[in-house]
Amino acid sequence: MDTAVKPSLSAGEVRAISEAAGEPEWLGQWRHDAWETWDVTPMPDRVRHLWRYTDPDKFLIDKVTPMLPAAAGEVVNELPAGMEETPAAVGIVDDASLHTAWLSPALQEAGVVLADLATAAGTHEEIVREHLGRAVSPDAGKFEALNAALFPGGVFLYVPRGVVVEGPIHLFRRHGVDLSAAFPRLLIVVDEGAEATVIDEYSTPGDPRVVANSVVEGTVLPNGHLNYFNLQRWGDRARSHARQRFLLQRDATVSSVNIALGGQYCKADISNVMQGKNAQSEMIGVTFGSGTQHFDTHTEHVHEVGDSFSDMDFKVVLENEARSAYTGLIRIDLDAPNSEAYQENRNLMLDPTCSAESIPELEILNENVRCTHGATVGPIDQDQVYYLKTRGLPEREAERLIVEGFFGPALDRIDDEGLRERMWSLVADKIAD
Amino acid sequence: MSDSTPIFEVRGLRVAIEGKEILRGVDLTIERGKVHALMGRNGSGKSTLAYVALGHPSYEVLEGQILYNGTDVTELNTDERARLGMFLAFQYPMAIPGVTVSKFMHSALKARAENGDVQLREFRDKLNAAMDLLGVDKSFTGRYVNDGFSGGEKKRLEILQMFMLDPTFCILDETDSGLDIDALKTVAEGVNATRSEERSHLVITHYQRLLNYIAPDVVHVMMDGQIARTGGPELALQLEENGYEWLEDELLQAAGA
Repeated sequence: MDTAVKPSLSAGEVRAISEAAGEPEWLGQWRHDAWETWDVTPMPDRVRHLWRYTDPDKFLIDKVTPMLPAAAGEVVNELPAGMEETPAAVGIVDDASLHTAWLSPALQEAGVVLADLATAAGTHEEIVREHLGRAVSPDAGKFEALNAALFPGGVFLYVPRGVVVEGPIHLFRRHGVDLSAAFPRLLIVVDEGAEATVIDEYSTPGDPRVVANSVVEGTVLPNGHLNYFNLQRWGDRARSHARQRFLLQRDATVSSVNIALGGQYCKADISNVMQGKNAQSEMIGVTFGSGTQHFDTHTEHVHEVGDSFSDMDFKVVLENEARSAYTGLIRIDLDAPNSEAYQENRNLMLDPTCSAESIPELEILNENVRCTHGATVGPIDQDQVYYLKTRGLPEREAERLIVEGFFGPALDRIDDEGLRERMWSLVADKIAD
Repeated sequence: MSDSTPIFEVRGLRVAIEGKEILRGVDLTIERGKVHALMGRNGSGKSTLAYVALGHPSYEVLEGQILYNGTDVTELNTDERARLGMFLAFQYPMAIPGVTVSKFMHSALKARAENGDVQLREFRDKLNAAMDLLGVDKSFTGRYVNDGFSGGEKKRLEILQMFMLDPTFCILDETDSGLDIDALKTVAEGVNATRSEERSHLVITHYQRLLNYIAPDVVHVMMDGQIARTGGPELALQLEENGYEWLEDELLQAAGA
């Protein structure tokens, strides 16, 4: 499966790879079409504002080996040892394939599905066909098309109608092959009245050189509730293009927390779309860049339907020569009255050598809405540092405390105490480095 | 260190900020167990002395020495001075949004602990005891440091820190206090409750009013970046009655004579 392919792979070959991996015919066709889209889509234009800060060439895969679809291996239904929390379910992807999918007996009983996505395309064809590519279409962009054509395995999570999952569903996506391209893909479907918390954790054990192109998509059906945590802990030599998009139907809520700590060159595009009345999205972002890390993050809250609510709180701390560019769009459609949308982005710079940009973007087509946004970029306040030092805290400790306080209000919005503590410790570990 | 070593001593101190000389040769000695008051008009250099004593990076020491307990601390970092036992209660304490009082205090105590740790239980007991003593509401601990605090609450937090950190030399910068009587009383109670043979205080104030609640052993008057006069508590009363002009006139006459 580690066969090197040229980027000149043809659509027919992509379908053949899918077929050889034992995937259903419809998925092979879907990949075939996605490859054609990739083939005909020009590289993103740097003039377009979403690519102003990041060079798309960095995400090309001609110098690395893509991890391609292959026959699904055995999936072990076993709770791994050493879990920090008591999960409801655990999925582990190493390199290309999901090899562990453990569900608590209660979840198995309730019909929750945690499976290899390509396999689920056969076993749960109807629901996978309905939702695959729905939130993140292969047409969404050049790299989204590439992920659709080549993602190996992938993860599918389905929470049936009315099922309330207690405890987190913890996914580990680990990519350890040097000079490889990884295409993690996750599809989440939360059915009517169902509820789940997902921790989606990305890492590159051994710090290999990896070009990651990931897609996370999902649909939350009426009155469904999803808490989604994305922990980006790539190694120092990873590049990452990440697309995340959830669709919220009537009375649905999504609370997403994106914590970006790792990676060398990272672009993330994160959006939630209010497609039904009273849909509510809360989005929290925490980015901490050090060394020469590059973060380019775009968030979107799109209100397609009125009487919906969104709140975005995105915090960035940078030190050394790290860079961050943040663009945040609130779009309220013409026929989406009585929407409420709030957006805040704050950037704290610990060294004069870092750089941060913050650009709020508003497309408010309906006048009968409530909407606020705020953005700040600034250095650490030396008076605060002095104050803490007069209490005996060494400079680095003083900075650490100020950074914790800066992230605090965002992280403290995480309701579950155990999860909040875990997020805190991940961030604190990076500060301590 | 013998008991006769002054807790705090400043010798020929000249200090500038942005090239402008603010302290023009200050000499000051504070003995162990004493409460000194430093009075003077706005702009005379009182707050500068407080900041420089704790090594504020914006101020440049041109000449002179700052000694704590006989040790020259002029070149030490702010946090090193603090860990030796120096403390500054700020006139306008900084807000640290997102950091709770509890976390802040725990971090400050950990920074001084020899093994770098203070057990949470031990810390909570100590904090509770200090809050009881000062009559501070328990809800304080969960609030963010000075964030949205009233003037009086900020003073209470400064005093609470003075209790918890157990310094042996405390500078209280209360230059413009005197408007808020409750805040004034809080500071006075804090000083009186921590007064001991081992500890000294330097209370900086513009108004004599604060000294109605704190009986100082020694009063200094600062004028134009120098200690113009040193006396007993009666000096403060004289200033209250006659204003600073009286002293200025006297000094001018002395200079002319």
